Amino acid sequence: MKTSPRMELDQLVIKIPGRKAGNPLSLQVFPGQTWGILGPNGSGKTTLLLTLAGLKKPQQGQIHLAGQALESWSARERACQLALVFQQQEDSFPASVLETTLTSRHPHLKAWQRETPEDSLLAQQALERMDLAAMEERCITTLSGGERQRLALACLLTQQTPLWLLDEPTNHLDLHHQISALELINEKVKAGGSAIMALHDLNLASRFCSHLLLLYPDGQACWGPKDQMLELPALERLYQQPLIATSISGQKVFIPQTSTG
Amino acid sequence: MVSGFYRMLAWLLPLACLSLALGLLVGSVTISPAAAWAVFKGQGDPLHHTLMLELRLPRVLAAFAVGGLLAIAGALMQLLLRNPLADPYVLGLSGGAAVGALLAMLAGVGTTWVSGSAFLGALASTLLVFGLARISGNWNPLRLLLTGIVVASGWGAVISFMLAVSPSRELPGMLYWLMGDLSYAQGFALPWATLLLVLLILQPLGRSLNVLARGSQQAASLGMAVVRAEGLIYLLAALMTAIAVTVAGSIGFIGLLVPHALRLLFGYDQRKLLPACALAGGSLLVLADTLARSLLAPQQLPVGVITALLGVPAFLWLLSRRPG
Repeated sequence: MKTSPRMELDQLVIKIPGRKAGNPLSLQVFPGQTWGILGPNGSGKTTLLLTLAGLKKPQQGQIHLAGQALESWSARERACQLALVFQQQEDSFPASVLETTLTSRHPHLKAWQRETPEDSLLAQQALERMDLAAMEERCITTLSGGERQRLALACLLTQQTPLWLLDEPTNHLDLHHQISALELINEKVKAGGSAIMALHDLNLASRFCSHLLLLYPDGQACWGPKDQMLELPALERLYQQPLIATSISGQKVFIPQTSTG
Repeated sequence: MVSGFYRMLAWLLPLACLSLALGLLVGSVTISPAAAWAVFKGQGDPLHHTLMLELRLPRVLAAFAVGGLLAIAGALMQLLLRNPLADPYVLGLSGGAAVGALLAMLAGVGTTWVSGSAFLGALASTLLVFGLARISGNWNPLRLLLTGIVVASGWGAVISFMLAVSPSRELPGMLYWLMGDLSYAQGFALPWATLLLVLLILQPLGRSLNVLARGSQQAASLGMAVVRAEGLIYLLAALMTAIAVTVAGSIGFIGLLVPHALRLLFGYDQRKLLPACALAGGSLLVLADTLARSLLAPQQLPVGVITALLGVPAFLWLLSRRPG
């Protein structure tokens, strides 16, 4: 049996103010795939993710979520299908870490319903997974940037959706937590989930993504399986930055060239 | 039930009962509990009967409801603007109400008209701010806040102008109204009905309010109809504040301090916080009003003076212990 795509972009053009419409994007994201979005600042990575999450309208084209047009989903049902980790955590109102995590159960509950013990358990397990179990009662306004980011990932876990959209999930994270965040995503995808994430680190993208979408600042774009996309000239043109490519134990590694060598 | 809900009740219900009892017993004439018991049994001193049941009871009940309304409205405004230091008047509503009330006083009409005119002023200000903040498409908390602040300072200018041109015999009444004063309070039915209705509407929506606290983008990504929810919160908070101001003038600091302090004591869950605001805000205003009536008895102080005198140091203390 052929699996159907979890998300499908059909001639999609995103709205970027002050730039002419870019290449239309047409691609399919299947269960078991991790898509990385690479591109320099301002190339539209965040706008694309917000559009895919249904929070921004596309300029043209269609997005299908689980075979159904994205705009035909109710907001609540959509939030049971896809979850989004924002690039910046909004300056939020004081709340405890556990309470914040629990709010991610919102789409699964009716408006007036209370969280069940299972909901609390899910939230606590997610916090444990992100090394935040000891901070359950802390007020989120006292957390560090990295802790806030891990909280956002714990919320993502708690929301329990098959599709994850992540805008620079390694933002603010120390080296160890960067890897454990990406391994978390890997695990999710291996278990039949899908992920689409914006990344800035070529080496992490090369290790953790199955497919890549390259967004150029002028609106051009290309996409495909990782191995076809990680080509030195394409990447150098993408970032306007000379690179050195090498390989360490069979793994492609990219290092930026500096003017001092 | 929400965790900690009963602990909150266990603290605040006795506080509410205590404040109501004090409000009934203490004043220019202090009544002993035994004498009060006699009045309740239908015996007792007729003077005590008049003092407690005809003079103090309506005023104490009005104070409780107004305090509760102000505290809940403050909590909602703080949530709406995602700013723990917002208060019910931050969007200029009290200024509109004050202009309405002062106009009625200048016209020399009765207190009912003053209240009605204040309510209309508050509503006009609410609609003005809401309309201005939405006029250029998207509204967001910051735009709403700035619009409110500008409109409030506009009202401030109008109030100063009116005070400057008013005949001096009108001034004390006007100043008392501006400071917030419960001796004008007429009827407790409307504020109580509003308080109970609002709690009834908001209690089942508490979880959604918690989601909204995470920010509008996050809330939208969790499937909330953010604009609708924010509109509802704004209108409810405005209505509550308008009724509170109509009954008692613009009493400061209750709406700012009570939610803030309760968050520190009982946590952030709105399902716990809003009923806690009703109880604690009500108790605090009853206690403040009791002080206002008895400190310089038989002279009465405007209760807003008491809440401000207690509120300013308490607020500075809270502010100084905020991390960062």
